[in-house]
Amino acid sequence: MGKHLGFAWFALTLASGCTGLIGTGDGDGAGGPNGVGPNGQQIPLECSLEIPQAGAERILRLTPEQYANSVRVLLNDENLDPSIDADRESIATLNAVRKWYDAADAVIPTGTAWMSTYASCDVSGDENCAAEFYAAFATRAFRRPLLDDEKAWLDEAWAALPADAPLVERLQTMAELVLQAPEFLYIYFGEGAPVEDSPHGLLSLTGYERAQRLSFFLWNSLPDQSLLDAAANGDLDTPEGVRTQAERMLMDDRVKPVLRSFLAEWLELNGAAILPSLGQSPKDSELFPAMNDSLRAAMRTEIEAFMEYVMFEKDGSMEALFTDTRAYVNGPLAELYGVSNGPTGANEWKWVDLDPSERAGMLTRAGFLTVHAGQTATSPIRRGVYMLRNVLCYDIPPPPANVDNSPVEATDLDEGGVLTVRKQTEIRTSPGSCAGCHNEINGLGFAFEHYDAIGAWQDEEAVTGGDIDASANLSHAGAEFDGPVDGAVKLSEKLAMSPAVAQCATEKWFQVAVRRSPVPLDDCAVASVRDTVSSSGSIRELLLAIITSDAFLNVNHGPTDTEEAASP
Amino acid sequence: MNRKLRNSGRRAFLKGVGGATLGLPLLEYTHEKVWAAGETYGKRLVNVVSHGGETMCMNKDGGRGGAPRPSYDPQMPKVDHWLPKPGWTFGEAHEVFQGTDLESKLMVVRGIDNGGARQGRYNGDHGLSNCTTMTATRTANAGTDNERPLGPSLDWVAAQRLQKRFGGPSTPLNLIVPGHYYGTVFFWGANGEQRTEGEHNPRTAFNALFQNVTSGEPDPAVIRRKALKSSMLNGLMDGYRRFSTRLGKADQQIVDAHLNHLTELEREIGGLEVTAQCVVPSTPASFDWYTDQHDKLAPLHAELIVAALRCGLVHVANLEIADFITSFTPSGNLMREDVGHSLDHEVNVILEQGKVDVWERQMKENRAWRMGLVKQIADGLNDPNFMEGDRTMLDNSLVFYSNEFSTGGIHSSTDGPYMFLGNAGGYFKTGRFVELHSKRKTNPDSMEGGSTATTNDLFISILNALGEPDTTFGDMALSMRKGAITELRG
Repeated sequence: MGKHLGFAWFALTLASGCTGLIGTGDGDGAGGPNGVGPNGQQIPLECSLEIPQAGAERILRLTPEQYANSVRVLLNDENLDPSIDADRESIATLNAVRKWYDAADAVIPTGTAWMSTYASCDVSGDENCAAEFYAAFATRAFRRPLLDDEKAWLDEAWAALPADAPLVERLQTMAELVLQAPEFLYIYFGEGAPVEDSPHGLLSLTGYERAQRLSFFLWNSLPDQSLLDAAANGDLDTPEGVRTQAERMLMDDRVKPVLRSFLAEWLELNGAAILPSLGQSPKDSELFPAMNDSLRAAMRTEIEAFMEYVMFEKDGSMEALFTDTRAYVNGPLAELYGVSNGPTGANEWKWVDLDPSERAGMLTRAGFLTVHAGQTATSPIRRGVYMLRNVLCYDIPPPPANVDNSPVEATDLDEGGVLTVRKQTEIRTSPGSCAGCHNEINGLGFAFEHYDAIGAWQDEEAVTGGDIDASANLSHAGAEFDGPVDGAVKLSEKLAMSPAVAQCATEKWFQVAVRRSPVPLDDCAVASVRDTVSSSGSIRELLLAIITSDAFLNVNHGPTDTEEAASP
Repeated sequence: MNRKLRNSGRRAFLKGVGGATLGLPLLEYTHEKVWAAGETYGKRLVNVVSHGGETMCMNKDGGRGGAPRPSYDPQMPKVDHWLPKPGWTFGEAHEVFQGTDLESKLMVVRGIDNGGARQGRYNGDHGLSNCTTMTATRTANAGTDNERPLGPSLDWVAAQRLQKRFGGPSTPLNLIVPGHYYGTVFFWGANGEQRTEGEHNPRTAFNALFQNVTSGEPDPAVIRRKALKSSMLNGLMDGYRRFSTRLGKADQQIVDAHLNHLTELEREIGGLEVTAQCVVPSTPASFDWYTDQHDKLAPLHAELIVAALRCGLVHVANLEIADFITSFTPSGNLMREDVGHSLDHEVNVILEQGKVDVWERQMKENRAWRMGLVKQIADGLNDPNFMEGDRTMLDNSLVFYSNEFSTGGIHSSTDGPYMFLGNAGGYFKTGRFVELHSKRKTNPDSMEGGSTATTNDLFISILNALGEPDTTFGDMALSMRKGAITELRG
């Protein structure tokens, strides 16, 4: 995310004193007129030319979620839970291929009853019915009508199966073959027409290709019949037609897991490089006796419900995401938030309003604050690093190799004084080599000092009794937003309006939509989406803008930035 | 004894460079030491890799804990369960073997560093240590979620080699007891490019392993099923070749990699030789990843490993054990809610609160439970009902135990915990504690650093014990010995 240097951002970086890499450029026309560099490399065109551009992309394999959802649809069994390699890299490992092989064997039902969905004839007793079955099954799995060479390939595979094997076993074997076919396991766009005037060899996606890009993005699953019909009718040949379908899909419950997953990833609830997940983040059982697996699960449920609330009841408002105080809590979580008259038991759930002087939006929720904290105390450094990297998309370099990485903890001094976490953090990061970055990291992280290691509000530290000081300093959010801020509630109010946050959210969603980080060739698309979200303040509009962007509706098979960098 | 002797030991053929088939004479020439010395070697390897460190007190520089250290390297309890305890050859960590048949087949080695983990970033963190524990090399994409080693892990190399000698599968069985960890230690492929996470669910592993295997005489239905699978894989490979022609060069590489894996899978299935003594175990229970029943799940993994080895379904098996509190051990969860790092990230608090004894008891039980899984596997291979000539299977095997860290609390990868059961056909001399630490050799209480070998050297020794004449492994710039550790042979 955000690893290339836009010119305007680069100048800002040099002036910052913390040499980080900044997110994608602003798309204001830094590109050249021809789109081709002196060595033949693809370079961005000026956006004002209005010629579609998109970063290069490679063939993708289905994610584990997409695979699981797809076989559930194909086999009409919501309870299927195939075991698939968790790796998401483009190139499959032997382990991944082996798991697909095993999974295909495991998920295909016994007997032929399920096959009747795909054949009008009697599959169980008619040898001649086989071709109708496996062709129809493959058509559904491949998300489009079969090509002639695919039909011939299936017929050859069928003919090669041992003829003395029972019919049902041969049919099941053909179903296994389809579930391991490249047209099912991989997402490939390459059948569309060339985009007029594109110097980058852009291809426009066909209607069926747009249908599967839409469905795998928004539902993590196969296109439904409406989407396939729209593709067949040519309705997806225009951005307007694509938008109509996307609006329908965004109202469907199948989008909810994608929304939940996005927020969990954005907030790093599943952990990051050396950050334990919410479920595994260790906490001191003496300081936090209420913390247990049930409470951790409740924290995640709350955040996921909050995302759905924002999307479905607040029309995807960015402001609501950062400032709303509605929360779906059970008894223990209500107690953590200090909610009066809330639910009492772990199994009793209720929507409540949190104290607006203490909570505002996603960044003040217990799940997020628990992950980004230590075992015994807050962690201004972790929280500050997270804010810079993930909310403002301002990357910072890793700490030096010999850094003191032990947790900062509040301590009592023998003389009766105290060293709060804030004070100890300042002491440890004050040396000149640290201060450059930590002025910005700590400046943001201190805003969250009112939330202890499991996200409960604190006016004084549990260990020392020292008063909390949550005065902070916002940077990289835009000129009119940068500056002093007191506490995370005020901070969140500023972030909700910040164009830097809009840019960052755009990049995060863009990455989910097309499964690659934005590159300079995407600058025009990203800038257009960012402007949409800045003016509308709506995540829903952000998603629709991405879906109707040139980067989503077209494909570029040229070399990726990584490949260009690696070439001699 | 193999039921179908498609490849039998010395008669095995080796595909050479360019696809030429090398017959036995050339094989003897290129593998002079293996084939001419008249020695016997191991036939199989089991890697048990635990996460989070052991009950050892290492500092990051390789010395033992206990002396004042910088603030990030706090003073630690002078506890080391991997050094011999009074009156016994081995330490407290190995008490599960004391007085058993396995005691004489045990070898513990100390004074070895994971050189790859010492190369930077406060001498190793989780990502770096995981990537180097079994690979002994340097890493790419340091410090990111995509960090990976620049070479394959020991298990993959061993499996590839053993397949060439004995036929059958060329990749290991890979199982994990899930919990807190930062990624696998196993990286397959010639360049270690395939990060390979283990299967956590014994039911899934069982179904994959034994779907075409029967005890006793072959079942006609299984034979027919195997023929169908073989035909399907051939059809699939045709499909991938056809699909590849529609793609650009870069996309072709992705699809061609898949095709190569299918080819390997087809070869494995086609060449699978189930041994006559194969006994298919009963279908195990199914578990979610987020299970809190590690005490139920883990023994099923151990049972599957033993069964798969007895049936000849794999030559190499991995059991990776994540970090977690073993609340089911006798004392339960005595201390704080830590994820199991061996000395706890906040060991200074343990000291200040005077809880070293409580911590030590909990850690001892936690690690003893893990060692019990090793014992279960070793006992299974040592079973006299499954002899190979006059030897048990264990006598022809190496069960190798290691850990991502020595001291987990400070992410130390020096002077690590390395242990063997079985002697690889007599190649290693077991029943010994092998001290390679230069300072402890003369002063067992030494607190100084002094490892004299790295995992590069150790892994060379393991491959030698499996009959491979390797003289290098991983990045040899990290090696201290620049070759095998001769002390392991006695």
